[in-house]
Amino acid sequence: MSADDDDELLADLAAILLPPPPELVAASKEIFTWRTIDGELAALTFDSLIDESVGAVRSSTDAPRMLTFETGSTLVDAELSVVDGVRRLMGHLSPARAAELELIVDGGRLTTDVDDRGRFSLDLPETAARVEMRIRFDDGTSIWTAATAI
Amino acid sequence: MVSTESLPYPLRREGRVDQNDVAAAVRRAASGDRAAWDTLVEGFTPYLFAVVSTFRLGPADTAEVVQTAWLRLVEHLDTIHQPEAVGGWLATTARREALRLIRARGREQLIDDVDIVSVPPLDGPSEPEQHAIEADRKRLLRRAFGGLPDNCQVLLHLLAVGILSYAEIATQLDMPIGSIGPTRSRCLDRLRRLVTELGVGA
Repeated sequence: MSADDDDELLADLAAILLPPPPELVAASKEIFTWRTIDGELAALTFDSLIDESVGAVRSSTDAPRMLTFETGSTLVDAELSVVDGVRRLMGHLSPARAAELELIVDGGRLTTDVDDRGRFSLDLPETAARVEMRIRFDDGTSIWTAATAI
Repeated sequence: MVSTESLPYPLRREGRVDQNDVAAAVRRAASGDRAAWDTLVEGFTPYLFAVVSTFRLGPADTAEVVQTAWLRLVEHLDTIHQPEAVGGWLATTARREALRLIRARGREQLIDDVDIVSVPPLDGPSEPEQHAIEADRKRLLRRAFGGLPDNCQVLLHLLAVGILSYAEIATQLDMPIGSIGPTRSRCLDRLRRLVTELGVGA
């Protein structure tokens, strides 16, 4: 087949491959407004779901999922376990300190307290979805965790 | 005054993506320029959508993963090391997020290609003939494409969307740049054969 035939077939292909829905493009533009939110980002630096399973045999799905988020000064470790069908996220802050925690998922908000030993626990919705945590400390500073499917 | 006719920071010149323009748009977005961000989204969302579509997650989850990739970029705008390579960065991020979502949902089985299971019936006799032939051809091509091996689907998808250079595609797919041309021909030949087979079997 000639190069022209190939180009033509590729162009035909481009025509049938679906373009992104306009609402997805619009929603992606809106994401820019997240930049204006106060507080420091805690980047996702470890997720056992991705970082541990490469090349390894995925033995049991019962093992809890471990996640770590980090800012320059604070570490948020979290563990997701499923007990009797309830998905529970338990975690702690290092260094330990009390805070207010707001979890944002599916446009809804769940709030809980982080105790003075830096621990927190939250029950998540049934299905995994994109989740962010806003953690506000008593001194008025706050951090937010990178949006992650949990 | 921002013209509504064209985006203020075009990423393409004479049909080709200009790496300097991409880098400039990333830097401007990092400094808070909303229009520059919009340009990036307009330019790269079709490509990201193509990359994520290969995971066959279904429309809602595909959109979710694409948006998460953009969120990651917002989170990292200030610290991105190679702004000119943001396309590759976005694609890598999107693939990783697709994988995360699949695993988080505990899904080992991917959703079947919707196009294959819900093929519309052949157009009725009232349909103008030319239109029916065209629709049938597209349907065949779509089915044939779905029957290609994954590596062919991904490569052809990226080439069809056409925002990445061969060098960037080579990096993304972890293949030597010299083999893209030959692989492209091989995959297109295979696609042609599948179209013929499906056409005969129909």
